[in-house]
Amino acid sequence: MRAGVTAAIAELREQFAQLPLHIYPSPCGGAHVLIEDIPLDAPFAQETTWVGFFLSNACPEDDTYPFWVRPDLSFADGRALSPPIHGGNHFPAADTPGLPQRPAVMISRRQRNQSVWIQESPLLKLLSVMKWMTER
Amino acid sequence: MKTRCELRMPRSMYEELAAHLFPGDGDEHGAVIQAGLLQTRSGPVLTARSLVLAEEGKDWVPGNRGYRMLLAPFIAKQARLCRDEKLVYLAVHNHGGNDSVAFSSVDIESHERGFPALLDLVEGMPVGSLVFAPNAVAGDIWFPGGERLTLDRLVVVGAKRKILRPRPERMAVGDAGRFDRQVRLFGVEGQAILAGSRVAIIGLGGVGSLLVELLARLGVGQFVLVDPDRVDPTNVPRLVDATSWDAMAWLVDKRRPEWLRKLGRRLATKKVDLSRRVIRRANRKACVERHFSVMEKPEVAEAIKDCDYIFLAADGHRARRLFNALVHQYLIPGVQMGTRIQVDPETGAVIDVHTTTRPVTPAKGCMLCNQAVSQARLRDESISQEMRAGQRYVDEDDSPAPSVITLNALSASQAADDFLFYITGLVNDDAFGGTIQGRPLKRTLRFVDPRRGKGCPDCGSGGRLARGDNARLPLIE
Repeated sequence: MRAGVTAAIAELREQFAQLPLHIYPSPCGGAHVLIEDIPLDAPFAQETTWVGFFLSNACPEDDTYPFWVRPDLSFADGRALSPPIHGGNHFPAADTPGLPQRPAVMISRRQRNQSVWIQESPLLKLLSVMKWMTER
Repeated sequence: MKTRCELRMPRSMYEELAAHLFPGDGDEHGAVIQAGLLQTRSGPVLTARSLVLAEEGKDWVPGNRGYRMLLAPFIAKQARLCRDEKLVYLAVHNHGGNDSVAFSSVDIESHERGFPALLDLVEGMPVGSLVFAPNAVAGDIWFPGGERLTLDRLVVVGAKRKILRPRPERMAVGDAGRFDRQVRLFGVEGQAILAGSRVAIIGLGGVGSLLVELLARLGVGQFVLVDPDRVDPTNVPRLVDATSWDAMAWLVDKRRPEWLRKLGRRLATKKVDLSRRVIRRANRKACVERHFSVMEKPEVAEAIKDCDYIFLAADGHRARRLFNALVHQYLIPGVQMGTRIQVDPETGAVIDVHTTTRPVTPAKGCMLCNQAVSQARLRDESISQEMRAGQRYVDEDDSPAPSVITLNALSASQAADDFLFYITGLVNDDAFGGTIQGRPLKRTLRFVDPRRGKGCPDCGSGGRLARGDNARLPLIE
């Protein structure tokens, strides 16, 4: 794995030290990351979810997206999921040795602030996406 | 080969230093420069990162042995900063004269007395001294381990290049006769500068291929060519000197079996080889270093270190990200070129066509500050096609963008001209330094002034600017 990917994983491990965190290195120097049992508060019907994403070999220069979560994700008040939350997807997006594809909901939040170059670590991006989800 | 030692300095810093050293009082003044260190194949390059002017009477006082000196507490403070930041400590003062300058015997004695202790203080980094005249500079640089080098030249990098040396250099006339018509514009000195210059061209497609032709015929002496591709039949209309034979068109034809097409693709001419052929036809004496690879290789970055200019003619945002870092970290000016053609996917109507020539220097035109590098595009380029397809939620077109030789020629020609007037120092001081966009649909040109963001990791003072080897380049392991 590239140095930037290793550093990002170390930061994720520190933040989610209490949760199961699995790494699946890719041949190009990146890695798939799968974190289980992340708490999900309101407005979702589920209490926890797994979160999966891919760290490319450009990490941390690139934007980390999309994120994938449990396939049965639903709002507690019965609202339908709407973009950028997309049902009917799979994680990982392509065949990956050792990591069978599983049904998933995809959250495709790109970094929108283009006015300045912000190097946002994958951890910060994940936390900001989780925060955004709970504000839906 | 003699080890050369070069100092690169942004123009804004040089102007501030020159105003401090030569305010018109005919007196001596002092300063300290903190510089990055870059080890190249031809020798060390120092990259001036910050300038600290010595205050008259406080930091710069009458000397005990010489006329003036920097006070010890000032020296120690700047040297400690160099130790902490892994920078080279350079003491600066000026002498009289104009086009030549040298250290006095008192200067040399003070180096021999003081530099061994200073080397201990900065812990592993070189220390040195520079003495300036208005049009000259001499340097005495001490390296850990005992090596001691004189400075060969100072390159002032900005919209206009200026070279300072200890004394005027005799220019070899060389091929002045052959280049007679252009020598009438920029003189034999200009032709010698071109012959002595080394440029990198990243991407040898439609724009890069034309650049190769233009620069080779101008008489540029050394080329670093970088491209991972071979000639394809669809390239032939845009690549200088390319033929169907280079593309192995008869083998890669769709009617052939796949194994034959695969063989044809393997036998097609590499774009770096095609460009070398073009250069050799124009100028037999030119040196060509070829890299049949993407830009993100340590050996490519190594080859670029001692270039005078970088031309970015590749499409990708990974290349843009690395190019921008190289310009700022190594203080090598460059230019990014491209063409954008927008076609309505429904109707096929042409919506917009524009060509871009964007100068990028350590002082102006940073591609991060000007939103010319997209982190989303970086992401897309860094994952497999299969992954892109798997995470796509709207139909996006992966087919190649339109490309036309005449449009490529607009940006290639502008970039080659910009380089010519920069490297020969002929460009006006007040010349427009921003991006020039051609709008062929309207037959207009647009002049775009670049922005400068705060806290930028490339051009900001807290980032990689002039760090030399002491910062990791993005995307390279």
